[in-house]
Amino acid sequence: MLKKLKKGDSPHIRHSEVTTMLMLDVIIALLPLYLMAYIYYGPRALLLGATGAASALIFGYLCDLFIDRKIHSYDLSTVVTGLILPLLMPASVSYFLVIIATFFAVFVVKLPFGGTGYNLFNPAAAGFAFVSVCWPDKLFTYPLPMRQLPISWVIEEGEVTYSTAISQMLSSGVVPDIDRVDFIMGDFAGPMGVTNSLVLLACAVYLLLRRAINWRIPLTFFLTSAAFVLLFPRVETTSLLNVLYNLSGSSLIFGGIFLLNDPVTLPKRNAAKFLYAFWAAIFAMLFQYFSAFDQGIPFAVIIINVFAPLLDRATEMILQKIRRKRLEKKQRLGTDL
Amino acid sequence: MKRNNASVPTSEPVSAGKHFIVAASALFRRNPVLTVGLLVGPLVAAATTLKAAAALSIAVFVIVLPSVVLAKLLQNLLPNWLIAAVSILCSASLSFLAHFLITPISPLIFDAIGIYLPVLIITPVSFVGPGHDHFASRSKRWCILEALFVGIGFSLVAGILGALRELLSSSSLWGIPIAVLPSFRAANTVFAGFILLGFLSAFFRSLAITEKKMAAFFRRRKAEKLARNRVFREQYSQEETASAE
Repeated sequence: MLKKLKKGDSPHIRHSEVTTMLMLDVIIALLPLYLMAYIYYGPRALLLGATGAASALIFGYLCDLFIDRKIHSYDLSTVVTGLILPLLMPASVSYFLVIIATFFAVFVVKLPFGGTGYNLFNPAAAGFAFVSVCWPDKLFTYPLPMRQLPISWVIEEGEVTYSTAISQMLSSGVVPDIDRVDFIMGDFAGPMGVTNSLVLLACAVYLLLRRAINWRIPLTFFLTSAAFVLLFPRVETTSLLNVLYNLSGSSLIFGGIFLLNDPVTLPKRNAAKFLYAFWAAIFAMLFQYFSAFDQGIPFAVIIINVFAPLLDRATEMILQKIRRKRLEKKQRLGTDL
Repeated sequence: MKRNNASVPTSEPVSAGKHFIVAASALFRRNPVLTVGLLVGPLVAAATTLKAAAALSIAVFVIVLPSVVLAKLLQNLLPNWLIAAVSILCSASLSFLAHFLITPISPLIFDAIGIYLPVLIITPVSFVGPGHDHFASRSKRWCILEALFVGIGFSLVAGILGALRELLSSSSLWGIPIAVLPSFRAANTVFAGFILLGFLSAFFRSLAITEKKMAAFFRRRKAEKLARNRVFREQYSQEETASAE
């Protein structure tokens, strides 16, 4: 028995999770979405992703130089940001917009707060929000899928056929008229990485099994969003279709899996995570219903990121009171005996 | 009353140069917008172009600064509550004069400032109010110069912010197209104003830190030179006494 004991320095219990592995898992989960985008829109989708990743890597290196002059080349968090941003945009978007969004995400959202691990807001959500305020006309016009887009720097007018997205139809009160098979396969106009719900759910299962995301967040988020749609339907159709159109037709599923689960901006307590996802869903649905922008989830993520520390503190206070009452009750029972 | 680090104690005789340096520190090191956060609201809301920034600067010079100087001069002569009332009355009256001066430059500036015009009017109270005093100069005469530098400091920040936002949003300066740059519509929004102001504040702070480091470097060099001279003189005097013996 004694031979089996190993001597070593503390800490003796280590978690196998490392930042690089976590980010690698997210990158692996994003690859199927890029594959689907390639099938729908051609090599332009892959080039947009590559542009986002490359610019994020370069800006990340420059950010590290600014902060501590030591390049964290093994940190893939900026690459994840660079890969997530193009998936929220239409495939017809210019490469320049992707670079600007990545620049904003790294130099305005990450650098001033101390770099990786210290950002207050989700960089991808903030980068997307910035470009959507600057160029809403370019970001909310969606090309028809299953047509190869040109890989030129900027797509000229007339080169691409655009269509109305489901979220835009719902905002106008029109029931979307989409073939069921096309709807299940994600073969309809929308941001290039968010339309295929089946692939997104498969990515979510992978991330859950790898413990890269917490099950509380997407579950609470989707349930709350569905309940919101059921309580306040925008179009007259069956409840199930209403929920499916609202969740699949916009970037809510994508946001619930990839944007809300950023480990830096997430609350640390499990009870706070339920509240975090609940309020994120409420804000996201309010933005979907009432805002001028087509995609509401990035703005909702930015708002709820502000409240994450408050939710942690509030749940800690409540749990402390509960624990104290239990302890007092135990002590009283002990003295009575 | 809170004492500022750069304050000059009035008990010791201080040169005019030192007074001037203390007053001029309101330009960069103690810039009212970037270090204390005064008048940030009107700045980010209204200074979306260089013209608007110029109009806002004139508004500050005409409305805020005379009332701030008046409040400072009346300190220790009147009770604090009366000083606040007098300075607000003064700035409210001066806002009419500002309206006449600014309208030819930027007719819509007061509409753009909107709710922040009352903020401009009551700013003197936050500048020289009960329990806090943003002036570093203890001498009332030099406070007038310091107030001037406060105004120049505000105008500098407003000008840079307005110019940047106009360049980014419409690639022009003072309405004149400058270059073909991509247009960032978000530069006109308040959140972009706060972000740019944050970066400006970081830049000014880095300049102040660099200035401190350089000053420390030159002081150390001077001290080393004096020490070397002292050693040299001691050696020389020892040699002289040795040769005399």
